[in-house]
Amino acid sequence: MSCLHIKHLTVTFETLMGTVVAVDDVSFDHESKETLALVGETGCGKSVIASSILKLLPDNANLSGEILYGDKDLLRLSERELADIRGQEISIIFQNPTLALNPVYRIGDQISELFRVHKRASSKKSKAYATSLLGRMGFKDPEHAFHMYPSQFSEGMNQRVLIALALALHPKIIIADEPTKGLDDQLKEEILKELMKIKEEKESSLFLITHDFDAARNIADRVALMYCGQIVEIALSPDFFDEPFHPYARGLLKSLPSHDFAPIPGASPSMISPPEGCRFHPRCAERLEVCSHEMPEPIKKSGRIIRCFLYR
Amino acid sequence: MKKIARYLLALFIIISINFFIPRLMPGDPITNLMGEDYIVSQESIDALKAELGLDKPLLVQYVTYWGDVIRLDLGHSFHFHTEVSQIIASKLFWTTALVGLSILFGTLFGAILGALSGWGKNDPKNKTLTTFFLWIYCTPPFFLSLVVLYVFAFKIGIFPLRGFYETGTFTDIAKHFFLPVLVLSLSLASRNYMIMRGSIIQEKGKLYILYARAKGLLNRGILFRHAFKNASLPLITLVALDIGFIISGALFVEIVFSMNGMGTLIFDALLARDYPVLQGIFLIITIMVVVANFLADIVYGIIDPRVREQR
Ligand SMILES: Nc1ncnc2c1ncn2[C@@H]1O[C@H](COP(=O)(O)OP(=O)(O)OP(=O)(O)O)[C@@H](O)[C@H]1O
Ligand code: SF4
Ligand SMILES: [Mg+2]
Repeated sequence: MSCLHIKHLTVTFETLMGTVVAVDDVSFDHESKETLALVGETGCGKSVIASSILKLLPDNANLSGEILYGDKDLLRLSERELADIRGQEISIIFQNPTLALNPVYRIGDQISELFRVHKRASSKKSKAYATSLLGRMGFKDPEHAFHMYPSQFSEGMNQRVLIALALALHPKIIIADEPTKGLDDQLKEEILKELMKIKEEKESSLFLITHDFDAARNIADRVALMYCGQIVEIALSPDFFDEPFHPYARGLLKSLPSHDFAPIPGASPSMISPPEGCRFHPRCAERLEVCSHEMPEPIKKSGRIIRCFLYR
Repeated sequence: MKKIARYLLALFIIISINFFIPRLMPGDPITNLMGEDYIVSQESIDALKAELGLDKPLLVQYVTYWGDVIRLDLGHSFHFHTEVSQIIASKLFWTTALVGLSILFGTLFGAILGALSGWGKNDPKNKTLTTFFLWIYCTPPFFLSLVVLYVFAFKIGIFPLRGFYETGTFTDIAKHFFLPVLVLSLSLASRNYMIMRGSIIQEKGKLYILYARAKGLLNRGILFRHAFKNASLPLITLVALDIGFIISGALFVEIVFSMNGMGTLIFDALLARDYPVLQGIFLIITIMVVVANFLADIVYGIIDPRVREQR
C-alpha cells in the first residue's frame, strides 16, 4: 500500500540568472511504513522534492504535476487544509535544527505549540505532553530541558528536539532532510537508531534524504537516486548497492572511499541549461548514439525503475 | 550585574558633568545663577557666594553637591522665585505623560502596521501605507504640529488652540492632549513602522519561519507567534537609543501647542537665562534617558535569552 504518489512533479524557480529546473518530471510512490532513501549529489533537487510535498516552497517556485496523498492532491489544497496535514500527518525534519527552532522561545513551548495547534490541548496538558516527549527523546531531566532555549543546546540536542517534534503526533509520513548532517559519527548512529525505533513503533513511513550511503544501505528499504532534477534509478536497497543499474549509480558507488575512490569525470551540470538528451551523457562512459539528443524515459525493469537507454 | 554597574557609572559621570560645566563656564557664577534681571552689590554677591558655598574648595563643593543631588535639592531659581526641583516636578509629570503615551501608541501602532506590511505582499495598500509613513518620517514633529494645529484647531476648530491648565477636568485635559500625542505618536510610529517592516522582511526568509509553517501554523499565527518577537528586538534598541530625540521632539511639540510641560519651561528659562533651572532640566532629562535605556535593556533580556546569558 502506498501512501504517497508523486506523478510528473516538475518544479522550476524564476531567478535573475534564468529559470532553474530543480525537479524535472519526477514520479515515484512512497509505500506506507517503508523507509525510502533519496540520494544524489548536492544541488540535484532533493530538498526541493521534500519541500514540494508540504508545499513549503518560496513564491518564485512554479509547481506542476500531482502529489496524491489519500484522495487529495497536496499541490491543490488550500493553505488551511495543508496546515492540518503539516506537522500532524506529514512532518518534516530539517537539516539545520538550530536554525529551524525559534531562538527566542523555550524548547518546551515550541513542542507544546504542536499540541495546541493540532489538538487544541490546554496549555497545561500540552506542557505535560511536551515534557514526557523530551524524556522519551533521551533528555535526562525533561523538566529542565523544557525551559532551555535552542542556543543553550548543542546541534545534536536540537536535532533530537526536531525529531521529537516530527514524531509527536504519530504522522503517516516523516520526511527527514539530512537529519544527521554535521553531526559526528557516533551521534549520527544514535540519532538514526532513535529515528528508526520510533518510526517502527508508530508505523510511520520515512522519506530520508541523505548523502550518507552507509546510512541508506543500513536503514532504507528502497533507494531512489537523483541526478540533475531527475530520478534516474529506484531499486530495493540491497539490489541497488549490490548491483546498481544506472551508469551514474555505478560511478557513484565506485567513487566511495570503501570502493575504488574513483571520481566520476566531468562536473555537475547546470540546472539552468541542463544537457540535451540524457542529463548524464557528457559524463557517461557507456553512452550510446541516441543519448546525446534523446531523453530516456523512466521504465520498469526487473523490479526497478530506471531512466537509461541501456535498459530499453 | 555588570550592566547595572555600567548604568550607575553613567549616572555618576552625568551628575558630575552637571557639577563641573557651570563652574567651567566663563563669567561670574553669581550672575549666571541669578540671571540678568538682577543688579546686586558686591557685598551681597560675597554673602551669596558664602551662602551657596562657592568660596569653599572645589572638592568640598563637589561633596556638598552630591548631598544636594541625593536630597533632590537642585538649587533655587531667582527667576521663578522657587526651588528648581519644585518647578521641574510640577512640569515633569505632563511631559512624561506626553512622552509615555506617545511611545506607547507610536510603538504599538508602528510595530503592528509595519509587521503586517512587511509580512504581506507589496500590494497598493501597503505601498500607500509606506508612502504615508515615509512622508511623516521626513517631517519634523514641530512642523507636523503646526500643520495639525492649523487644520484641526484653527480651521476645523474641534480642538483647542491653546490654554492648557493642569486643573482642568479630565475631558478638558484629554482634549488638549489629543493633538500633541497624535503628532508625537505618528512621528514615532513612522520610524517604528520603517524599522519593523524591514525587520520582518528579514525574518521572513529565516528557516524557523518555514519550520513554523511546516508544523502546521497558519500565516497570521506565524507572524505574531514567531516572527514578531524576533523582529521587535531591533525596535526596542532603537526606541531606547531614540529616547533623547523623542524627548527633545516632545519639547518642541509642547511649545507649539503651548502645553504646560518641560518644553515650555526650557523656553522660559532660556529667555530668562535661568541657569539653575536649565541645569536641573539637563540633569533630569539625562537621568530619564539613562533610566529608559536601562528599562529597554531589561525588556530586551526578557525577550532574548541570548542576551540574558551574556549578563
Ligand atoms: N528558492 C530557490 N530559488 C532558486 N533556486 C533554487 C531555490 N531553491 C533551490 N534552488 C535550486 O534548486 C536546485 C536544487 O536545490 P536543492 O536544495 O533541492 O538541492 P539538494 O539536492 O537538496 O542539495 P543539498 O544536498 O546540497 O541539500 C539547486 O540548483 C538550487 O540552486
Ligand atoms: S542514457 Fe545513455 S548517457 Fe544516459 S546514462 Fe544511460 S547510457 Fe549513459
Ligand atoms: Mg538539501
